[in-house]
Amino acid sequence: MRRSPAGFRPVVVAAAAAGLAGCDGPLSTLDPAGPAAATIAGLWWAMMSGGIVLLTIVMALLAWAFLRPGAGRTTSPRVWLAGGGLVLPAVVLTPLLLAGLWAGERLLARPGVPGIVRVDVTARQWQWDFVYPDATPAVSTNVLHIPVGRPVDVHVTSADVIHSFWVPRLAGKIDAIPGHVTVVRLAADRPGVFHGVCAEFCGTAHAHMGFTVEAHAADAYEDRLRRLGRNTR
Amino acid sequence: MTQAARITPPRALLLLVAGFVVWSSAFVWLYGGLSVGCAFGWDRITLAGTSALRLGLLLIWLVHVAALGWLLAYSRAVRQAGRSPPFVTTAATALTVVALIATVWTGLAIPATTLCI
Repeated sequence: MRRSPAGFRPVVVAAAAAGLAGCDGPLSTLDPAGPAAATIAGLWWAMMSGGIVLLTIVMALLAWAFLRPGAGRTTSPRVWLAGGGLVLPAVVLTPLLLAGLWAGERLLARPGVPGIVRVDVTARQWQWDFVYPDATPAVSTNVLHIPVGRPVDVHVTSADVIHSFWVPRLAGKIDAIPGHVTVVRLAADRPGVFHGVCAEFCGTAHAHMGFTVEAHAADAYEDRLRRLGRNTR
Repeated sequence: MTQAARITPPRALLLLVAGFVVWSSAFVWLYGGLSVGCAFGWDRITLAGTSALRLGLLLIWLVHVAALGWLLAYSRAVRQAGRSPPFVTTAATALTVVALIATVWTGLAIPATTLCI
C-alpha cells in the first residue's frame, strides 16, 4: 500500500484545525445567542448544505469521467452544458435565494413590535458611545447594556469616518455612516457578555475598536441603567 | 429591405453585449430607484392600491423586460437576414435570451419584498 508523503497528515490536521477554529469563540456567527443571529446562522447552514450538494454532484461526475472514460459520450454536449450550467445551479440556487429573501425579511427592524428598547450609538475613532434614550441621561462607552429577551433597536451613526457595528453572536452588521442613522435589531436570549467589533476598516487602530455587550435579566438591566444614569450626572 | 437586414458585421458585434447592457441598466435603475424612493418617502404614497415606489420599480422593470423582448426579436431578425457571421448572431441571440431571463429573475422579488422600513 502506498504511504502518504511524510508530513502530509500534520498539514491536513493543521489546516482543518485552523478552519474549524473559526466555528467557535466570542465572535462566532455559528454560535448564535439570539433570534437574529440564529436566522443568519440558519442561512449559513442552508448555503453550506447547498454547496455540499453541488460539490458532491460535480465530484461524482468527475470521478465517473475518470473511472469510466467515454461513458458520457452518448449524451450530447448541449445536454451537459444546459444541465450542468443552468439546470443544476438553478435547482440548488433557487431554494437558497428564497431562503435568503425569507431571512432578510425576518431581520428587518420593523416598527410596532411591543417591548422594543432603543439605544443610540455613535462610533468614532476609536470608541463606541452608547446612549439610552429610555433612561436619560444614561450613557456608556465601549460597553452596551441590553435586557435579555427583548428586541433592541440600535440606531447607529458615526462622528468621523465610516465604521460598522457588529456583534456576531447577536445580529448582523450595520454600517455607521457620518450624517446618517442606520438601524439594526438585535436580541439576546440569555444573560452573558458578547463581543462586538468594528467591521469596516476605519484607520490605523481599526483592529482594536472592539466593544462588549452585556445582556442582563430585566431587574438587573434596570438597576444597571440607574447606576449608569447616576454616573453620568 | 428591413433595418435588420441592412446591419453590417461590425455592428452585429454590439448585439453580443446589448442584452447584458440592458440587464445592468435594469439593475442600476432598480437599485438606485429603491434608495432614492426610500429617502424621499415614496413608499408612503399610495397609487393604484400599492405604494408609488413599488409601482415605479415595477415600471422600470417592465420597461427593461420590454426592451429585451424587442432586442431579442431584432437579434433573431439579424440572424435570419444572414449578412453577419452565423456564430456572432447565434451567440448574440442566446446571450439576449439569458439577459432576458436574468432581468425577469431580478425583478420577481419586487412585488413581494419589503421596500423601506
